[in-house]
Amino acid sequence: MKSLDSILAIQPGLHGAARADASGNVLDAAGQLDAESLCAVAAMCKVPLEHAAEMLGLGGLRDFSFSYAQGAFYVHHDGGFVCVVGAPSKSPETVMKKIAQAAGGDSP
Amino acid sequence: MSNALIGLNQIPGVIGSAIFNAQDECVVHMMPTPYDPELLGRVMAELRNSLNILAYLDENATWSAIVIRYEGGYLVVRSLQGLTIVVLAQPTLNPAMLSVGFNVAALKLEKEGVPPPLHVPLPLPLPPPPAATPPPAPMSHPTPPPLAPTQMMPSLRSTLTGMPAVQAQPTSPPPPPPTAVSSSQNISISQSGRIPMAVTPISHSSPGVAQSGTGQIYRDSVDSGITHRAPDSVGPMVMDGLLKALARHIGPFAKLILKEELHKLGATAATLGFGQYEDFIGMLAGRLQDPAKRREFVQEAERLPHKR
Repeated sequence: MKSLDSILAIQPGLHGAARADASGNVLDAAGQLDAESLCAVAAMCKVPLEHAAEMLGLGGLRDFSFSYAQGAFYVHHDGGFVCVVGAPSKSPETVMKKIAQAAGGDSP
Repeated sequence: MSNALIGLNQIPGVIGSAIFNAQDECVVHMMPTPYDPELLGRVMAELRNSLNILAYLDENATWSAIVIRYEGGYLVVRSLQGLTIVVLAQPTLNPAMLSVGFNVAALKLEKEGVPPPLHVPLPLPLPPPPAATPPPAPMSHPTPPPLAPTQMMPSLRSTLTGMPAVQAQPTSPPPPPPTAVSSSQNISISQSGRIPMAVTPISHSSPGVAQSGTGQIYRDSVDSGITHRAPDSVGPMVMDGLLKALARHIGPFAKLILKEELHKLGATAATLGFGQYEDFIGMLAGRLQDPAKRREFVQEAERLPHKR
């Protein structure tokens, strides 16, 4: 498992990362972000996204990202989860893939 | 409208796609059975729940894309021209291809209008039937009618070969109103006002305690330079104590709840005064579903000002 600093280095524009347990309690943070708020939100978002998966039969949640005009929010689940914030990306899927690989060796 | 979905469905790995209007009603879809519009509407509601939660980070932010990767595939959602396009895809999806597909879909949507929602409005109530006939079923418990065959895609194979999208037929029976099928609505806590959603208390069965946030909410507010501690403010010790007490009951989300309730009072952690304290405690307590936890929290909160 790479450090959060090295996760931030995988893609230009990423400026903050945090690692949390499954409940959203922050374990580690790096860069510029409100780690507690982000991790709490990520933990809460997991619930409706898992319900969506149940309805569609898609299985367990691995990663998700939300993109805004002002930025993007990436979350990789690995028991706990890693939250990363950064500039908006035209291909959030690609950033998610890189974060997943860097965070836990989970190759999509 | 359908041309946009045809293009998306031809991308390798895409299982199906659907378009929702600004009211989150499915207006057109190209999904194989069993992904019918009602199911898609419920999925969309869950996605909306997650967006509501996300509004805590920046309630003015307007999302443009959601990408969710599950063990069994992708759910990719894009906001285009006031519409929401949802794509269901297999794990083998090439995301770069899908990005291009969305760009093309946007161009096609520009040329095409927005069709009416697949959910046909409920008909006006009928006049009372003659006494000999049995009374109609109450409107509050409608029997879900089966979806018209024309509303469903016959097979995955036909979808992948670019079968035209299906739109509502004027004679389609009215489907039942969307109902909550999952408990996530019970924990959705948006008060942003941007998205209609019931405000409900939070209930966590086994919340963890925020580990590193003590005092952060106060420092956020003071260090920003926007606000300064008011002369009669309750101060950081009390705010820290409140955060800890709340976190014991609802976990890491306590900080966000605290901020939100402060915002409702027009206060910050640095400016909340003793005159507002009682109201503030009541508002926070209202977010706890369990009466015992609520009582415990209020008792602890009432002791805090004396500990300054």
